[in-house]
Amino acid sequence: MKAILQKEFRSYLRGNRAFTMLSIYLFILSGLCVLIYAGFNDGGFSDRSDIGLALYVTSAVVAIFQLTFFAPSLNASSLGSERDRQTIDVLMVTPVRRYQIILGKLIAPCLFLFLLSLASLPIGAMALLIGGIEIRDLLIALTIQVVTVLGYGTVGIWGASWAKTSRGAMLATLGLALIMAVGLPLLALLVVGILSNDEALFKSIMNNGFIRNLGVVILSFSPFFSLVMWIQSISEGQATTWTLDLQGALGGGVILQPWLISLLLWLVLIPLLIWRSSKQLQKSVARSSGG
Amino acid sequence: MELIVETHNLTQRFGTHVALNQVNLSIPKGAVYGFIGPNGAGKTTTMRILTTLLQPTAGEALVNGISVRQNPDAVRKLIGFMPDYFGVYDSMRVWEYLDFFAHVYGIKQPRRTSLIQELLQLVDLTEKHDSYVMNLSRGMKQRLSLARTMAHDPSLLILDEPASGLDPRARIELRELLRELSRMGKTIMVSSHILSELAEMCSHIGIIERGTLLASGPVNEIMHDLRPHKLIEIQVVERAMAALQLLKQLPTINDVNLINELADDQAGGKLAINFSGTSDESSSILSNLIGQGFRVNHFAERQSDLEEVFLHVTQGVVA
Repeated sequence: MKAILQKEFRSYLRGNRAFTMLSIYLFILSGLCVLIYAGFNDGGFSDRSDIGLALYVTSAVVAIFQLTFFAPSLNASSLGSERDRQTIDVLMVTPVRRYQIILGKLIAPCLFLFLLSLASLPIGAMALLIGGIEIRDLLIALTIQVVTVLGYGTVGIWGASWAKTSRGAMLATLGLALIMAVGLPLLALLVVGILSNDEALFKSIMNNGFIRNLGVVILSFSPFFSLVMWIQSISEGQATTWTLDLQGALGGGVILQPWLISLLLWLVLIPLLIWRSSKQLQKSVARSSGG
Repeated sequence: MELIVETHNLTQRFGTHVALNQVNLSIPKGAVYGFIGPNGAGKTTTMRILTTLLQPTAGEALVNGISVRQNPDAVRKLIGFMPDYFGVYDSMRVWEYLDFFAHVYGIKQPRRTSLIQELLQLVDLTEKHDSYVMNLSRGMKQRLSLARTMAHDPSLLILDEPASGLDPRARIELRELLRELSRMGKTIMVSSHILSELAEMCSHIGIIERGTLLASGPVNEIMHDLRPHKLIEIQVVERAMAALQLLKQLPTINDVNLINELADDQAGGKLAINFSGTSDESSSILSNLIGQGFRVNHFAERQSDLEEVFLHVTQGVVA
């Protein structure tokens, strides 16, 4: 696996791709932060902590947005390009095990994306210096980013193990990422909007712990949901690291923080997807033998 | 005879399509085995099973006595595989390409560095050490690919259409390289459409069509088995018709024909003899003709070539 990792890194860092991606990523991130800061500056400084929180929110949301789409596409192309270049067969007849190929192909792009995450830390540190957030908030945002990269990256690899070309894999996994990250929260908003017209029905559903918690668990696949729920907690000054206190309208009670649910979900799903991808890789190589 | 490849009733189905039908293949150690067949005959499928890329539907395939089905990891260490295309890693230099595969095969530094030099020397690409792989010519890429298959010093090389798409010079270089590998004691299983090249290079051949192995064994034996009769061409300077009559009476001759048309009975001409006797008996044909006063200016046995055997055995039907 070390050989595959080394090769992947060499190909990432050679040429303009890594530099271009890093530049675009930081340009968008820092540009938006400057706009936020300028916006506050024009309105007059009311509270330093508002600026700190706004910078934190901007940097975290933009980072998550970019990673949500970079992670599956980069991972899908990492494995899919072996098929495009017709090098997968040659790799498969070496003693490297299938799961090692999958892991090598997963870890290299993920490490590159972690590098992007780390590169955005100075903006988060600025927010920390200005005030309004704690170091815990930065760490949680970073955790959500790491989980997003690994989780969505594994989805990308899994998709690539099925697809015939890297382009097909990229499109399929980007679509899936879009559904999970944005589609699920939008669907939840739509359902809540429709249900809230019937107050009795809405309350009965929200009071049903199983349905409500299942909804939260499904929504935790979206890093935006985890992040928004965390930001809401800290902006209301009620943040507790591990649990989320639901308001009365949502049936009340305490549940695990969505970022923690997301972490636990992906801890189970990632090994499962790696295992499935290894199996599928063998099948798809056999399928390409002429079946 | 120690075998490095054995298959027993090897069968491969893709849905209802039978790609391999109970193939029983034997390749002795040290052989250069030419695997011949029309497109879609099952050559690549057999090779993909032997390289563990494909699980057979039924039957067994053994490499050096190890089952490809039960112990694919051990089989992978014994084989070097070159598919019928050359996949290029973009932005990779020649030495990095070999270093990657040597690393994958568990060869550690500093041995890898010296191994790369040895491999490049073997395939005559030493001066391309730092070149990008994608900038090499097709022939060079093919040689580099062959060097890659040798990285872990495998006992068996499986080469699927290695000469495909190469220009004549690159083909000759590749053929010389395969001869060199054969001299190094490697067993080589090679498929190709260029039968004349295989005939020069191979010690053994296998002919496959529609998933069925039609013939397999040493080249000479196959030639003999499939073409038991010799064809002798004779040219007489005069009285070809009389020579024809004489030859028809000889017991060892199965059939004799005039190849060209004769202007008259006294004219000379070419005769073709279908003959099943020994070398002594063929020389007695010549002495018989000379003894009868015929002036013979050409007497030669025509060798059956691989193409002739291939056409004789196969029907040109694709599976």
